[in-house]
Amino acid sequence: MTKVIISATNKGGDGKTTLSIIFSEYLSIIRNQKVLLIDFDPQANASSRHLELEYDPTSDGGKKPPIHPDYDPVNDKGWDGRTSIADIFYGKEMIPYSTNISNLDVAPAYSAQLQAAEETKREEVIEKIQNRLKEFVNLKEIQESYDYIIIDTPPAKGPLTRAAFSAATHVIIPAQMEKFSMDGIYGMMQLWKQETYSRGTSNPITLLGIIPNRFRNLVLHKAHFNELKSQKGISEFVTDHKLHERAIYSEILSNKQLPQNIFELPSSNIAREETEKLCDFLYGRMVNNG
Amino acid sequence: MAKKRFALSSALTEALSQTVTSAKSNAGSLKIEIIGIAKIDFDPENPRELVITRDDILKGISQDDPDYDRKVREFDELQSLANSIKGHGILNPIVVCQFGDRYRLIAGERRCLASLVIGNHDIKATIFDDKLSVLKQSSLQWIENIERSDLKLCERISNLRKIVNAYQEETGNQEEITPAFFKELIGCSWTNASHYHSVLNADDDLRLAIEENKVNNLEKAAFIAKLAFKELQVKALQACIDGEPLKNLKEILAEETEASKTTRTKSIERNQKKRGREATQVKLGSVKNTKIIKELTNLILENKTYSKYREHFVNCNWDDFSSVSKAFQTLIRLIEKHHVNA
Repeated sequence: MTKVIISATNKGGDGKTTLSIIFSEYLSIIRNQKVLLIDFDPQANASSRHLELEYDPTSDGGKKPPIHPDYDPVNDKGWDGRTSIADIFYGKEMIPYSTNISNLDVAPAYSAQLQAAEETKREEVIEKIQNRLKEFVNLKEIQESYDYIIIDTPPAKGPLTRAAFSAATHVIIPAQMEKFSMDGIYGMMQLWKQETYSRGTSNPITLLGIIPNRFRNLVLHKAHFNELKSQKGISEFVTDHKLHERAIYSEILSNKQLPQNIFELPSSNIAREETEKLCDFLYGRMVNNG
Repeated sequence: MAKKRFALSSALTEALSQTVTSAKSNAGSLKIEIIGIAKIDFDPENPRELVITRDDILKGISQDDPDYDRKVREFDELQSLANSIKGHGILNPIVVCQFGDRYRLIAGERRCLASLVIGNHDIKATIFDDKLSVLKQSSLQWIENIERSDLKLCERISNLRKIVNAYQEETGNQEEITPAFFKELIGCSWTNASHYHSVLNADDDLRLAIEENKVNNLEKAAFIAKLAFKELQVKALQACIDGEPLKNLKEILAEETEASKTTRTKSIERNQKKRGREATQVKLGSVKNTKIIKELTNLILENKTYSKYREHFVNCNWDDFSSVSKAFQTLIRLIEKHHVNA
């Protein structure tokens, strides 16, 4: 069965997108697995890592996916040539885009449409949204095409994040060791708990790890880290592997930079080393715990 | 400048821990699905004894059916539940456990049948794993049915017997089941646990009367079962079948007690001696005068078998309680050790 890993926390800037990108590239490049990266965040940042998104004049600062390379204007009547993960809410077919990395496909965001789903208040619509992503990842074609699906989520606890939780087999929560991020951890743990309540034991949602991100050698960061580590129940989820605050993580995400991804750096590079160690750890935990 | 310190609020760390604990211990407890009634197999051993079947509802009850009258009555009863389902839906999901691609019903036969009456072919269900043991299954059936007043005593007792058998089979424990076991397993009060315990161990006359539905009251049945003498039991049972209230049954006991007072007093005396757990150790108690211990110790150390241990006691402060206590414990331990070696 395809493993579905979501990167989630309701606080912004903690590293959801960075982790989604790093882990999806690790799985495809280092582990040679077939991976689909789903961008469920209206900000569409994970999508723009791999595709040249177009600015969408109909929404403020929103983006839309480019014309799909397989689109044939003559034969594909009734399709405008764009496809995004938001299509699953509109009963349309979603066709993943391939990327420069051979084993990695991306299902991009369409800002305006995802935003509409996120903002819906009608209970019966929310229920449908919640189930749609789960149905999508469980489609036979998807299950057969991919070993891993990584879902990047918006910094919220709304319908999109809930839908991601319904679809997930594993959750990772990136967090800075600072007060507001701790509240974000708490928010995600509630969703994880609710989801655990409503699942059978044969189909669990595993909390893969709370990952200390943008870590700096400050008394504050170390104090919060040690405190989480000393707390019974929660400590087992906090990974010993941290990602430190480094310019390289931002630089590598800029377009047209070389190297194009962290795993092209020499293995002695400190950023690659800590990234790969963390990913090795998460991968091992996932493989061993089924 | 003071050293910087940072801490998470204890409320947050505590809440995080609680979240994890709660998630782990309640995993799956809210799992509810909608399943097809056609995929549910009714458990023939369920304590509820409806004779009406799914086919009767779907195809109508045949006039030639030997149970025709009873089935018609049951159908009418289902009709009122069906009306409520139609108006409000199923409030409590039924309970099933999964066997391959089918389900076995644990609780909710009436709700299933009533749903069929109004033409619903799907139903809300809590689904348990297929690895549910007979014990767990019977316990769930019990919990689901116990609150229903229309369940007959014989049905309750037969289900309890099933639980007890399953427990003994599963644990290999053939010991007598205690009231505490019932209290624990089915979560009833001490009084009821004790009642069930007595009735379950009742002799054949009472058992038969319950099975024939002549006795349908737990308190009365337990009262009869607890009577010490056979002739009293027979009398009380007959009174019960005749419909006498519990108060009258107790009067029978009072009359007889007068007559057999002497025997009863004796039996109480005997019981008092037996009360409590059998003693398996000697209690040494405590004293407030340390000199007693000093004297005892010296007396023992004068014995040539133990004189070699004298060095253990040279540093003892004989005016200090804890020092003396320690010394005395050492003494006992040394003697004990000597006896083990010898």
